[in-house]
Amino acid sequence: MRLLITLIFLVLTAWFALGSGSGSPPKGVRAQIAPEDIDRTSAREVMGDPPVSVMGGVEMSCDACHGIFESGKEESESRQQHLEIKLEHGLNSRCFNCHSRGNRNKLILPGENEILFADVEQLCASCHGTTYRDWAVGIHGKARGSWEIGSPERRLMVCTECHDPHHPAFRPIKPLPPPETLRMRATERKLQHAGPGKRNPLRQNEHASENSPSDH
Amino acid sequence: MCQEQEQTETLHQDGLGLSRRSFLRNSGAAVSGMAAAVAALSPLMELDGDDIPTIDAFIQKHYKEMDESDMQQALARISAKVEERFGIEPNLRDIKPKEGVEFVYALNLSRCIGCRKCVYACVDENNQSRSPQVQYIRVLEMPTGTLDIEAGNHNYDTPTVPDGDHFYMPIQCHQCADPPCTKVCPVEATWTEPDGITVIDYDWCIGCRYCEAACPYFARRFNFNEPEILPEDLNPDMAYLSNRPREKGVVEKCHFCLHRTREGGQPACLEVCPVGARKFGNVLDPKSEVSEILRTKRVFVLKEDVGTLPRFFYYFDERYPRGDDAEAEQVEQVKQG
Repeated sequence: MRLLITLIFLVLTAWFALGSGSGSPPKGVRAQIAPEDIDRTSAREVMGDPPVSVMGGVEMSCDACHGIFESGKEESESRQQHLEIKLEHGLNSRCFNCHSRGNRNKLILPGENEILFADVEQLCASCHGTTYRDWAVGIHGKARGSWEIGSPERRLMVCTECHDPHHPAFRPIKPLPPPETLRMRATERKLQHAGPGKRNPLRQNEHASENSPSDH
Repeated sequence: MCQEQEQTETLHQDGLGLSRRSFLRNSGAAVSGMAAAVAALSPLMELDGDDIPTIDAFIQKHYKEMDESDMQQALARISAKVEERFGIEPNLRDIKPKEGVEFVYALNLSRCIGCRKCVYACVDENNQSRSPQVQYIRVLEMPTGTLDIEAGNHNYDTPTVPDGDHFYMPIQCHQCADPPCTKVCPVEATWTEPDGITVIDYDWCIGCRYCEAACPYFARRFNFNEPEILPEDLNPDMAYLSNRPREKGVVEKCHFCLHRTREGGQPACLEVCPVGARKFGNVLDPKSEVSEILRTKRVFVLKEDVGTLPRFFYYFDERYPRGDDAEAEQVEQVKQG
């Protein structure tokens, strides 16, 4: 009997001493993120005053040409210069709605008032009034530096720091990697394109493309 | 044993009634038993100096009972450890909450594109483990038309975002006004601060994960392994209750970047958001944007029925779901004449 117990204990000793040791959870992999993907200071380059344009590799101020040459017809499609700009601003398809026809160094408000490029939010506000109202409070756009109203660090980002005035709608971008959940990676890969879950009432409407997203 | 053997046993016993055979047999069993016990405890051999707490750490008082000098001692101890581990001297301090401030977060679901920059900016700011990955923010890809979280998918990896059929909902700790997590902590390692943030003292946490189980939003993360942070990943701007490096076996979560926000700054997730979907501020200030949002937008919270009173509000404010932009169609028609 005691021989049996001894043998059992010796087997246990071998198991614990020689076995895999204290198993630790899997380590997983590092996500590969480039620093520019999470750069918190990134913004579009805003046109300053006086505005400049790169023509044939040379940076020139606008009135260098437009002070001399007359502009042609008003349709943006008949341009012969600045062809890299494709104006996609919704129904606003007329360059001179925003750019002063007489002085290309300035922008123009409705009512023929010229403003500096630095005051561009006044121009955007002239059509997008509700958005401007939200922006001034901080609801639209982004306030960098501080959440505290009245703090000198707080700075509302100007419209053109996020929106390209010639193509204001944001283009889709590539998302950063999904989380590494370790446990359920295999099963989750299968579910990746599942769409609405099993218990989702919308599943009934999956093949009925006529139905609008319902009142669930 | 048979009768013969028994007789032989008795014959060979000494004054104590112990024979050589029985001694060897019993001690053999006992020694092998002890060997098995020691082998079972062999993981203790893998302990190194780091795992054993110093006297200072061991007799440290609870955060709420520490006075200024206790805190300075703790900060010095932690700074020394960070310097030893990473070779970088941290700016570690204990920042007290401001008076008259209650932080609230609002997130515009019409704007969020699901790019996950907030997730990784948070990781970068808050010294989280890179491997295994600890991420405080989880972005759910939801099909348009439902707010049923069960329908969400956090593993999406489409080539571009957004796609027209989904909206995106990032979820992080909501710093609830009536949090279940602080009620279940057996050691009061987590509590709500006066400015609304639910904080964790990583030195006090015992790693039981009751809080992780109690949270209805999966806000809390546990360090199953020693967090892997390389010196180039380290953010040396630290606070005691927020982003100082954690050890294996403690729970951590979003704390609204209190090392930034208690000094007036914006949280990292807000600063990096490329579409301005995130709004943060002091709800006790009627002029702040979060107050304005709560007054004018149709905000909602997740899992309202469990009564946690989150301080994280979601809202939609655009007219059409993204993939169904009637105005864009109208513009196209007008352009084509």
